[in-house]
Amino acid sequence: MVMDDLDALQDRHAGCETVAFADLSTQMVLVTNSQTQLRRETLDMLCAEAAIVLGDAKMVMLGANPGNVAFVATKNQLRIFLRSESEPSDVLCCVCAPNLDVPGFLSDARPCLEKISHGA
Amino acid sequence: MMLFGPQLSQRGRVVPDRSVIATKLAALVEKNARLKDGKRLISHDLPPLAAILREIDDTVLERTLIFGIGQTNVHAVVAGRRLKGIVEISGDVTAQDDIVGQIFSRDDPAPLAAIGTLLKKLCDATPQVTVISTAPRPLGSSAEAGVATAALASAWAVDTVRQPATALQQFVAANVALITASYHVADGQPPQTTGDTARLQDIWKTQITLFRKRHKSVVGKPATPMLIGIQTKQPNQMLCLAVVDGEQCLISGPADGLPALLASWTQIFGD
Repeated sequence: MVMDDLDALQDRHAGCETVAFADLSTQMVLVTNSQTQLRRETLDMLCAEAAIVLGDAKMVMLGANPGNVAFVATKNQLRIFLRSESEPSDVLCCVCAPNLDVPGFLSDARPCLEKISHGA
Repeated sequence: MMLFGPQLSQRGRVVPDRSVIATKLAALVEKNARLKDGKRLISHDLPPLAAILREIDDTVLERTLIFGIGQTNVHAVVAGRRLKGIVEISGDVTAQDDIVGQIFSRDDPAPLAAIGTLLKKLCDATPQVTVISTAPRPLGSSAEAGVATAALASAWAVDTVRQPATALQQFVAANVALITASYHVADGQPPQTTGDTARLQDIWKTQITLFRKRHKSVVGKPATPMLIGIQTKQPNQMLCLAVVDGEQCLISGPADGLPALLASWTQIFGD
């Protein structure tokens, strides 16, 4: 199940609080990890932010090309948006602590996203 | 007994280098201190020569300050906020008789000018300067006081009244190795740029206002400080927008530098 994959990803990274699988074409969060504390409207906001920072083939808000990964770092939070290589509309939206091991998390999150994306 | 550098105790165990520990402890108590290879980085918020003068001005008790500039180490004897002389120059630059071992004095401008020229040449080639404070090495007599920083600044034509860099400027300077271009705009100030900024200028003119408006419409009032980083695969690049109060900076560079840039951001701006 997708939720199990998201739970497993979140469990493996202590600094990761929320992992949401979303579809950018409809701007909808489809599944989250079971332990997330975020409300529906916050998840919607997260997905909308992913659409703005990553962009798509039709509209890029910042730069010339759509992003494959984007980060929004604030004083006490790191939001990570990771786009599927095979299905550009599929993304993981992650809310993490600022001290997260980013390379370690990404190397784990990429195969997780591709697995979900292929099975979804 | 050796005072500095890794030592062996009488039992044959390795004793930690005390000067490195002292430098790290000093850096830990100093707000926003940065270390590079165990040495304290001093040029993160001031131009290199001004940063060297600040270190001299901050040194009251007699010490030997080892300034690391690129591959060269300049060992300066400093006391009472004055530069007494240079006891050693090691690394890329061979020892120079007109500098090493001389007691600096305002009455003898030639050695002062020579060390100023050498430091400027080194700093122009490598703008990052580090320092280690070590035990004083003998040089001249206690009656020979050396030269105060104001006179050094005058002799070396260093502007010491320049404002220290803002936190965002420090962030950009500290990560210069990860960045190919930056376009920094502060309220009411002309842009400060590094590298080839043609693309960043274009983004600034055509995209930033709309992007920030759209982002604000989604997240409400955006947090500050905030760093937005985007990695693209085609081409393999990163584009970042850093926002700190009234300052904004666009940054570009190779995509694989983004995690290190994020780590640096958290170190400087995180809780």
